[in-house]
Amino acid sequence: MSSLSSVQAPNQTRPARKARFRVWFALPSMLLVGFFFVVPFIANAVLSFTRWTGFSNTITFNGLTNFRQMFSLGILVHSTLVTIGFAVTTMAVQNLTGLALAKALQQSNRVNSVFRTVFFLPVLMSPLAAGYIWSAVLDPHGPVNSFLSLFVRGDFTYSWLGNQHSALLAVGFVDGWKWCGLVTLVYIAGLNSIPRQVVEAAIIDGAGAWRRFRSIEVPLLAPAFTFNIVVTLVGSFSALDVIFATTKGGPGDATSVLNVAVYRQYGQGLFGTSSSLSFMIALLVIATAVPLITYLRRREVTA
Amino acid sequence: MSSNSLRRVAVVATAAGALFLAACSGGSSTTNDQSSAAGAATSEAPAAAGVTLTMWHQSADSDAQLNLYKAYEAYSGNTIELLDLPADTYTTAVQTKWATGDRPDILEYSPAPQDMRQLNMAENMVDLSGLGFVSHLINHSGELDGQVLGVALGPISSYGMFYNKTVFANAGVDLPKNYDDLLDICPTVTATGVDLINVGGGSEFPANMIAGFAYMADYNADDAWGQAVAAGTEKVDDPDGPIVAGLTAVDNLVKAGCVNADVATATFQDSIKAVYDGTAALTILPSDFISQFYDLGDGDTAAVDALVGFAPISAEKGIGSYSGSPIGSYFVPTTGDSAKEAAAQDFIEWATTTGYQDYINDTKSTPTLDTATLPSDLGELYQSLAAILQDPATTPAFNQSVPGFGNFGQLALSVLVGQATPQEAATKWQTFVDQAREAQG
Repeated sequence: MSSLSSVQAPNQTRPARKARFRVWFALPSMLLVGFFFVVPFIANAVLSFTRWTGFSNTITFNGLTNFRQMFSLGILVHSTLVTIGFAVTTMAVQNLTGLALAKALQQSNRVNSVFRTVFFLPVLMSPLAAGYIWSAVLDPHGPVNSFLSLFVRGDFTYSWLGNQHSALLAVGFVDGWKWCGLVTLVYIAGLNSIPRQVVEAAIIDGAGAWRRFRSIEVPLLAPAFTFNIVVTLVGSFSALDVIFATTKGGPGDATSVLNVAVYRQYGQGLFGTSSSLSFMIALLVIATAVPLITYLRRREVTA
Repeated sequence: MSSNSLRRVAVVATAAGALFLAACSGGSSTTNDQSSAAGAATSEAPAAAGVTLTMWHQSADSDAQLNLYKAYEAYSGNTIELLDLPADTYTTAVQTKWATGDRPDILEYSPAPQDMRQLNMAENMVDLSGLGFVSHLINHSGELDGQVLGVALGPISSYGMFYNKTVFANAGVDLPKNYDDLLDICPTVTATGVDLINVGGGSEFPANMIAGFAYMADYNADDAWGQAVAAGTEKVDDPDGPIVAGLTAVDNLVKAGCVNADVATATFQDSIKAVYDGTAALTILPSDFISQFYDLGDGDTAAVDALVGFAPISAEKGIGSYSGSPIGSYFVPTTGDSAKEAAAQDFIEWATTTGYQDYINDTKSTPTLDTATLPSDLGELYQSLAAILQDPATTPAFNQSVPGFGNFGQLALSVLVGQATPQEAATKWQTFVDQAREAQG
């Protein structure tokens, strides 16, 4: 028995050693996620249920009071709806434009490389800078309206960011423009990973460009769709900088997404209610991302 | 649930609890520290030397403030280490650091009671009531509930209209004193092809100016209206009250075409330029922007004075209002370090005595202490400001004591752009006021 156990011991410890070895590689990521996500998430969740203000040096639990207050003030519902509207607009702009650009720039050649770089530049730009630039571009007397004035009688001076009906769409478009280059690259990678034989077989069978796009490329782009739709939609839930640089949440509260509401509550020393709104963003992200990823991943399997 | 699972849950719960307790104890330990420094400071506080003081200050501090710090260093042998915080988000930046328990030795901050409450200054600041400058104060900036917790050296802001003299001369109309006057002269002025009023709503705070700060000057003598709102005896959504009336007056001006069409997106810089260029007759802004008008004149003070004027305007009386600026206003947080607290008070003592007249001359501002005199070389815009601040009729700005004021600008803007009626905006503001009152206990 003793000789048998002495033979088996090294075999048992090898997997354990391997596992420990892998843990060392994972440790930096675990620490980063723990420090920058888990701890703040738990802290934020706990503080959401507290009466924490700048007016007092003590923090006390107050149950659901913060949420009830945000609901009764109309902030919770309004800002959540605005956030969803902004996220959907941004997601649609990024994915429709990104897919179109990816198709146009799919082939790898010098000209396309230049254009890929040009369309990627906004991604590298500061969101605040992008916001300020677009504020000037969309000014009632800015270049967009000057261009449109060529086609209408008189001066076209519509205030894209100043009208409550167009402001949300306009800031959604600006944020979409800002991140579109990243989405384009993912779609280009997805398109180029489609087996050439499949496309060539379709051509031989007489399928036109639109038919090939609809029946071959779109289904096989499913992993790219999953990544892009989830990242653009969920990423937009936490947008603030572009909105601040363009409308500051206005006019009135037309573009007051949840993060603007968080900022306003925080700025008045109401840290507890601010935390509760932040917690709502986290819940919104989880409630959206989990079912969306589940649905899109299933679709990938089907494809 | 297995024992392993239970253990994991307990570990997570303990971690969360420990985190929360740490957060709570961060606040309370500060309170304990503060008790060591309780009691009002006096002029006899021992002057320290060779002490390094940390000051949180606005990055927008002018050379005058920076010169003040250097002059004190030369005088005292102490060192002031400046921590620059961005001017446009200064209040939030201070609150963020403050909430973590971090404290400077000297804090540059708004001396308005409502802003002071947001840092719970009654418990977190050294009471300066015993210092010598208190008996020379001209206004009540820096006071909270009977205690003097800070000093506003100046400049003190007033809220009025910057107007283009040439536009008014061309239109042949008198300078308006109240909002009825604005409506009366509107058709004549706009007939000359200029806007009567330019509001930089894109910057949000100018909406406060026209709908609140200027209009409300008539109603806040001795800060009575603001304190009544804070006490709950006055409601901002009273249909017959001044807030609804002020918002209605603004709404009427918009509907009459007296306000710039791009009110929602124009910035305060646009407003200043519009008045200077003569494309608008006037804009209602804080006096803090006088220097920006002089900047547009490339240093030709006389030319700017010939073109632009500054005057009060209010609901009916044509009077101004004032508030202390965050710039040039100083507080001494309780840190538990008696040597540094004494040195910080020494800075206040010096800045309000030996260094004060030089500071006033340097800032070209109106003194807030009766120990200094008005600089002799002021431009006309500064002279107009001084006249408003020295006028006994001038009242404290309406926002000084109102809880939940931070939402007013957005709501005033919603009226300016036609998103809400005056009553709707006022009703919504009342809910924010109630929220803030509840938060303040």
